[in-house]
Amino acid sequence: MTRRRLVAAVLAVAFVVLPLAVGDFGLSVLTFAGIFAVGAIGLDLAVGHAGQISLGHGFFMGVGAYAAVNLGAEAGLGLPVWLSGAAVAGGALGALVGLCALRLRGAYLAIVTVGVVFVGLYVWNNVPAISGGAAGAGGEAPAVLGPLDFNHLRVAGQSYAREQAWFWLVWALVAAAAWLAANLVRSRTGRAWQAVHDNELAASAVGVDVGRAKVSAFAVAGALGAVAGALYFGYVQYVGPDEWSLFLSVQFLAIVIVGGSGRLAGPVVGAVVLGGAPRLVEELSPHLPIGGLGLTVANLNRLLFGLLVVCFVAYAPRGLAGGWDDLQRRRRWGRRPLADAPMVRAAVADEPTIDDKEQL
Amino acid sequence: MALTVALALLASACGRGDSAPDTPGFDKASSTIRVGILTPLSGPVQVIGEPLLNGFRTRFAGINARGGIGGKYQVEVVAEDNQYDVPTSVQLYQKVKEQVAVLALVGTPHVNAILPQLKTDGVVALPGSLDANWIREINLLPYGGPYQIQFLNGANWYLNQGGGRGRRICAMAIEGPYGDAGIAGLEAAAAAEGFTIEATERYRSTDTEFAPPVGRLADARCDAVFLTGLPATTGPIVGAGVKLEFTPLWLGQSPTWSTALSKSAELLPVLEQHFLLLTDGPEWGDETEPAMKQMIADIGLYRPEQKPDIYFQGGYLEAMAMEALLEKAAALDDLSRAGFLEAQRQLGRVSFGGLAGDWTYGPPEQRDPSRVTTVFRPNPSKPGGLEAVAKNMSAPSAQAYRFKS
Repeated sequence: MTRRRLVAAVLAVAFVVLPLAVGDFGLSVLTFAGIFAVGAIGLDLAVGHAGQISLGHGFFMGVGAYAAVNLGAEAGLGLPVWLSGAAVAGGALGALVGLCALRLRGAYLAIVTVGVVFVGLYVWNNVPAISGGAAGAGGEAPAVLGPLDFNHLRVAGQSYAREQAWFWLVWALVAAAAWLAANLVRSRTGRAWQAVHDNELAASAVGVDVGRAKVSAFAVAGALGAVAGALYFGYVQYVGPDEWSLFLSVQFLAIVIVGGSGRLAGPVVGAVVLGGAPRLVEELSPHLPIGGLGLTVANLNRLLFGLLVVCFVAYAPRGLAGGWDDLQRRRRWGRRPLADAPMVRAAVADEPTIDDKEQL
Repeated sequence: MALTVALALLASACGRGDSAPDTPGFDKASSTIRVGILTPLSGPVQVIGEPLLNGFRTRFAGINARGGIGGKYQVEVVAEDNQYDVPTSVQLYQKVKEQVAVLALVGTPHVNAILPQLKTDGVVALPGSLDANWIREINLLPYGGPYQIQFLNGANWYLNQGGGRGRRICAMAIEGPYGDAGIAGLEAAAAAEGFTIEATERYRSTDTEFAPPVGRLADARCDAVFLTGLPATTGPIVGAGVKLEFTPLWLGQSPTWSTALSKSAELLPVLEQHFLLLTDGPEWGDETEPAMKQMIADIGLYRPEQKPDIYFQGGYLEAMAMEALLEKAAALDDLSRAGFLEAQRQLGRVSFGGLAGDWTYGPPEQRDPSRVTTVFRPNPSKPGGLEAVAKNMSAPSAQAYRFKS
């Protein structure tokens, strides 16, 4: 069995076994992590692969959530409709934001994407026809896919808790999003993104349509961000406008940084670590001397979140996934000088430049 | 292939449905009922969540010492910090739902997010919010006077005892369902008492600059402004008025107040003359009300370091509502989830001993909330910094107010 197949088999076993072995609390944490992983995979395509900074991902998540509210909970349309409706809406708005990227880069582009978050907050608060207004919107979006109803899952006479069903649904979609991202990255579009990421001028000189690459990166990022938002509403069954704040967008960026930008596994690992770590710290808190430090558990979590982001940006810009790749290379190359390994050379070439760090 | 089949068989053998233990949160062996509370113990709403939890715990400490629920069941409180973050609340609900019999929640968005699961799981919860939307929800056990009632009573007091007849009345409210409830109450008061709302301003919870909306209220020459907001914004709003030389009478909903306001040397002189708080209950330490007398006694025994705090009082009140439900379920000898829902239907009239107005519970369509409000004036010489101007008043307009079905 190849290493890749072994990893796939382990993930498949985890996919089936975790909902059977883990309680509803753990499943809820993992389901939220999966929802954020879908959105982060999209953001990583724009940031990690196409080199386009975005601090507006929370906006796209809101777009998807309200698409699910209106198409799912209000109109009663099925899961494929409200999920794809969210993707189309997020993709279209992402493309619009991408148009701004044609003229801007770096900090200026970041500020534009921040502006998008605030435009969204205004709409979510003041256009009740779309969002329910400041009061928010609630309801059950149908989650039926063929014979499977994920809100009331029953298979072969066996019924499953909603937490189990939604874990399966969300993580199946994480796999689908990762598969889509992997194929996009290997496609002509993905190569164009990478060329733009590395050097816009050089990319343009060799015939890459830079504008098209940027717009498509934002469109795909927006679509996946919106799918994450639709799943969020489908799972929680209520959304309020204050949930799509700038902090949410910062969290997405932190997930990509900590997980490892530009790597397929990075956003997923980042979502699990940053989604699960706070709950883990809470569980361990009775054994930690945080009271003596004058900290509450939540404040400790905030502190750790900030420190993690700072440490990864400063000392491990390739993130956890990049760090894992490095460990594997060292293991395989043993004592031979690492610099001689072709893979390490490639990795060094991938190492974010100073410009990249500034963009992040 | 073999792996796939094995996994499919495993999955088919291990579904757990949405079934729960018969009596989650009840340990027959130790005669203990566990009750949960999800409340913000960190972040900007900690100022409400922490004293509220202390009040909640203090009431149950007293109940346990007096023999427990039904004279035989001790109550154990399981508290979790929801950080006023909706996903955290949803996750924590999943964590505690099998550990507790009944749950208390704090924060309207959090109740909204958890309510679908409460319905699915058949769990009864107490919403730590006076939103009238909860009245008709069988899975929720509200308590206290709804926000609409606070303004109906406040408007009646202002017109008849506060010299407000013929004065210009305005509104300023936070965005969201809480603000909507305040506006609805003032509009109902305007219709019942025959006055006009001259101007209405809304603001967001994240706003920090209040000169523009307050300036527009000044331009409208408002004599009284009914304020729906949170403690953190009361000072900046009133302060913005002072800077504009605009000092109307501010009449605030219960969450507009924090004990910290009575300690502000800069604001206090203004608040003493130009602010009234509309909320439940008597002055802190007013032992003519039996529940206040009990609360003071419980504090002396179980939390002597407690300083006067209206949110402590709110938590104590929330525990009283939960106690009534637990007592009823114990009397019916059914501490299952279905038993608590049935207890809720049969609860009938519950007295809160003067700490808040009485409620009539029962099937959602028959529920009748408290109709009383106390008008307070800031007074630093009083414990808690509040002096009751009109205690437990109930205007005809408040008594006649009909909540949506």
